[in-house]
Amino acid sequence: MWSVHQHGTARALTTNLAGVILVVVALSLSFAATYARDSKHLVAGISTASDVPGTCHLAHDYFESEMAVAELTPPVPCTAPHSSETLWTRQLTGILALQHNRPTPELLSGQYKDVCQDPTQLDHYIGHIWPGFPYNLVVYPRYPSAPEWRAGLRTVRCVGSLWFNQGVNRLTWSFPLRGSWSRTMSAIIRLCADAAGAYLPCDRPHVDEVLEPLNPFPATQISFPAPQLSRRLGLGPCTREALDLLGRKSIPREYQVVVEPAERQNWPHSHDVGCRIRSSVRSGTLAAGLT
Amino acid sequence: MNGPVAPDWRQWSPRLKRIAVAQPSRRTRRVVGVLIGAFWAAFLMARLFFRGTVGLADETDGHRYLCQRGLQAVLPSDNVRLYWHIYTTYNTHTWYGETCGTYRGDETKYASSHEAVLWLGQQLNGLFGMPGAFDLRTLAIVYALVIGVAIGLTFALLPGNLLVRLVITVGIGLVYTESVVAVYFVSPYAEPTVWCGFALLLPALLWFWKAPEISWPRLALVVGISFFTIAAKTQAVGYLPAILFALLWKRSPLSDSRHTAQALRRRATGLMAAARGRGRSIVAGALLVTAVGGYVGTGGNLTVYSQLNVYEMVFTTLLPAGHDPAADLRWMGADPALAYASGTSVVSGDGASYDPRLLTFSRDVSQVTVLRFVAAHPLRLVPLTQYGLRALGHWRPAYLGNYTDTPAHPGLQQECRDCFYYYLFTPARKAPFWFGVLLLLTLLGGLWIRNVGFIPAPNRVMGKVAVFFVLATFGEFWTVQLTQGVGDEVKHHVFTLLPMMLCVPSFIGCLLLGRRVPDGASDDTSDSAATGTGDGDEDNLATAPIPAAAGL
Repeated sequence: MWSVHQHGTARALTTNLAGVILVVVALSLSFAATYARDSKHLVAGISTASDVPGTCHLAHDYFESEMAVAELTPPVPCTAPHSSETLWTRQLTGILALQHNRPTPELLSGQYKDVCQDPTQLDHYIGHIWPGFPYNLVVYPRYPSAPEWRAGLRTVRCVGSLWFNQGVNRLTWSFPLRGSWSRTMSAIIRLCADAAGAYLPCDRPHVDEVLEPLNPFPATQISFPAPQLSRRLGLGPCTREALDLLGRKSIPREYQVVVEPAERQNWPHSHDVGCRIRSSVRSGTLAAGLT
Repeated sequence: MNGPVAPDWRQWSPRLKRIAVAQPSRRTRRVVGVLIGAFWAAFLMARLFFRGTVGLADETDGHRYLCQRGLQAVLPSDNVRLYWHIYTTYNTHTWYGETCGTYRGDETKYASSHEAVLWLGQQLNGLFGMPGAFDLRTLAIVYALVIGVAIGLTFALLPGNLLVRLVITVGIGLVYTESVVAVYFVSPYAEPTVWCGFALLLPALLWFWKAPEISWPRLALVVGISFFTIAAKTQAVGYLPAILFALLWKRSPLSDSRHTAQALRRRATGLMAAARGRGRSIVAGALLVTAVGGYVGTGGNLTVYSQLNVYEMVFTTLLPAGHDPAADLRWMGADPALAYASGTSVVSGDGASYDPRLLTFSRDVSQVTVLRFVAAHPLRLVPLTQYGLRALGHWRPAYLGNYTDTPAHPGLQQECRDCFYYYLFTPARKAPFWFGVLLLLTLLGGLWIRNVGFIPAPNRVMGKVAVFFVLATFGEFWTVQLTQGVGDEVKHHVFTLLPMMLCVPSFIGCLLLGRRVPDGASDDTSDSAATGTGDGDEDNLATAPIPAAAGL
């Protein structure tokens, strides 16, 4: 038989045990609240290995494009509207590639900012053997996911997206970029400008089609040239570029070759002038011979 | 002629005065508490919604909470500047891989009790007739109701007469409707969950303090609310010292000072009860600390932010505060060649965040290193204090808009529908030294009301309230200053401003409740009657003064 004292002690123990359990339950409920996630709408991305060149993706917002270090959303058909296409891959090297954990986005962007900058490769991919200026394409890297990086993968995907856009939404297109330069739909990856001078894709209403910039100055030109000199020296080569694009021997009356003078802020590293074909407002590219 | 008889205000005035200065009965407290709560809920909703919704734009941190609930903001276009306006409606969306991360597309998910609140909002969205799968305004209504409940409960549990309770709760209500705090209620951020938790914590603490002895249910309530609040956002961990102090600040029951056998028995019983109660508080506090440690350690938030915070503490805050950044880096065991990055932030183009040498730095310098450095260089606390006070003076970040995206409201426009404390703190905003004066006065007020002999025992709880808010302010101020330094400090210090503003009604409460009360002024017939078993702290004694020595 328990004494009164033992009964009291047992009761106190029971009370305190129940109290501790109560506190633990209160804490556990709050802790569980931190994991109240909607797992149905949080899905693992595809693997980097499956995101081969020619794979297209549709980013729905800022967090799937600009903010994403390793965007691995499921692909969409390249004939459906999409916002990026994987063009080629590269292997990362250097000190960052030796890290077990994927370095910060700042370190990656600082060290590998040029890893995907390869104009020759881009020309090859889109079939840029024809004249024109594919300046409305930007190529940027997508890194392996953090678990893939830890597993040793160092493959970076070089992804192409359209750059200049005057619309309210992210620019999409509906054809594969591979070999697309010879097709009329390539207007969207060509660069044009409106009457206010703002760049936009050539499939939008525009007055200028932008050609490849060129350096018309002799090597002896050291000092920054006056705009008139830029225009005078640039007109000949710009006209030749325009004729190449138009597939003609002379510039039709409705078109005008415009030379954008060299810019003072760029002069230390670039002597290029801009070349454009000006017309009345039109849509599409002036490039000849497209299918 | 028989017409309506005009009220005789000469008769009413003394009656109103009598009601206002009398101790309210339990029924009065309940009725007025409900009315007060309903008023503040309605007032908060009105200030948020009347003449157009106001809130706080998402600088992308809000995304990390909403995406975990499978939600995506409905934006008028892809090119909108998120910082400029608030976008309240969200649709369901599937997020793949790292597109729903903590920071800049990271693999970790941000653990937060705010997720449960968002879940509630999703369930209520249709019921409230809001568009989309979720609308921030749904939660704003819920937040307003919670704030109303908290203020109503606070009114019912506060000491003092009707007038004093009204004054204190008006001061508290104005804190939660103040622009710097209220705009968060229509935002995707976790802050409003912290605000609601903090608002509920006050009545929970009052209930805990008023108990005749420390009971497990009351402890569980305080600890549960505290953890829910801290787990909403790791920054709220700065409130933890104040909460622990509040848990342990429960005085032992008053003993009968006579030397009779019965008195000795009661004294011994009281001491045992005190020891038992203190033990319970210690156990509950230890469990709370363990839970917070577990949350911070496993939530993933620390993993992502530790490197970022160390960068901001070292390069953005501590190095510019000294004269020899290379020597400081050497002290920390880092490469002194990184001294060039002194004064830069993570996103500065010329900073060290792009420098591979940062890999070694991140390996060798941790937040513990930073704390050790500050401990070894205590003079750095001076500029740290100055930076923090300057941030408090800025009051609110200017880079986030408060209005919806309509032609009537240009980007980044700020609202000021209730800026009571903004204007009240004008001298402090201009000379932040006054923030310190407010804290000191509130602390002294709180200690004074606990220790002055003539003050009725139930009123002394106001001292605990005052000291709690001072400690919460102090704890949060230094949490921000020692973990993030000057990185986005104006926005981070809203966690400091909240308890600091609450110091004002607490201080006023101390002044009002610290006055001499004529005998027999109380008509309270409820739970403030002496039971002879209580801790003599608050409700369990009549309004008889207690010796000053028993104050703390």
